[in-house]
Amino acid sequence: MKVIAVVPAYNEEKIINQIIVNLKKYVNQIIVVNDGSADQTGQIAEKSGVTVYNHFLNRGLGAALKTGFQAALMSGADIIVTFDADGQHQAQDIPKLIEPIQQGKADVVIGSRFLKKYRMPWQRFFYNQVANFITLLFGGLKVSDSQSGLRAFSRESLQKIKLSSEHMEVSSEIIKEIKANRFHCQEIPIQPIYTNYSLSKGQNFFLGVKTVAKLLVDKFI
Amino acid sequence: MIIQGFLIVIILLIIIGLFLRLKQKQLNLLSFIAWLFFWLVAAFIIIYPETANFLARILGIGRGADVIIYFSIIIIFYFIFYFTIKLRKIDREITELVRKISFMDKK
Repeated sequence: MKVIAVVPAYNEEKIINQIIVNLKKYVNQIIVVNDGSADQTGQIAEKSGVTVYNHFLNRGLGAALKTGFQAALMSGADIIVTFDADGQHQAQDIPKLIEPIQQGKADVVIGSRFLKKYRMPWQRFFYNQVANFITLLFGGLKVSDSQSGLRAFSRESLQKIKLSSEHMEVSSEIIKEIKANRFHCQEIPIQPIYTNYSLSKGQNFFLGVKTVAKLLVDKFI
Repeated sequence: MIIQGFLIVIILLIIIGLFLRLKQKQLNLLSFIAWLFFWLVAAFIIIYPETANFLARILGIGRGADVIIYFSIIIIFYFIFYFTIKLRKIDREITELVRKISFMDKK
């Protein structure tokens, strides 16, 4: 089965190369979506030999993922893995992430940071619990880590998923699509890597509020 | 009296502006008619303030000024809603363009 990793990246020139090097051992192909980075992210990724799609304007996580998904399906992917470019994810989690799909036991697998007790900043924990609740309200499905960027999809399920979110609200929209399409979704525990770098790249309160606002707008329009 | 005259002059200037923009094709016919109607009604109410009070009595609202404010708020909220939808649509279209270009660059 052809496994393709979709890596949405925005201004990650410092670690994008490391991410790619680690990923290469676990997937057949890497597709980096350079979402209008102002730095050398795109160039570094292209130099490392992976497939790079460049958004010449920054459009947001949702837009970058959608581009990556289209590219992955076009490249004949059987399993599509989303992987963050900020260093929070570990490539060695990928084999157990895709195993349920390879065995035909699941359509979608989500790597959850909350199935086991891991050390994390309390703000992140709190924010994610709120996000899970809001995702339950908007998407109708309770998952332990709705905002996790480490996910795997089977080809058939990804083809059925319709996404319209531009930014970070796409995470909640994916959960909504899983419920709407009645996919069999499984969660596996993953350990998040919180370094100063990955923390600086993550969510904060105001971003969260804006994300909820976007979900509301999309719900009623 | 003076304020009314001043406001009417401003509205006249705005209406002249509407005609000019229509001629320069910056405004389509439907929008022109809608805005012209809006400003004519505004001018009418300024010249005959009793109309607002008349409406207020019919609707059972206190004063004419209140009626104007309530209507204005409804109209403003409608416009905000309309622009939110429009902006969302434009946002999506820009993303589609950017995506298309990213695929074209790949070939």
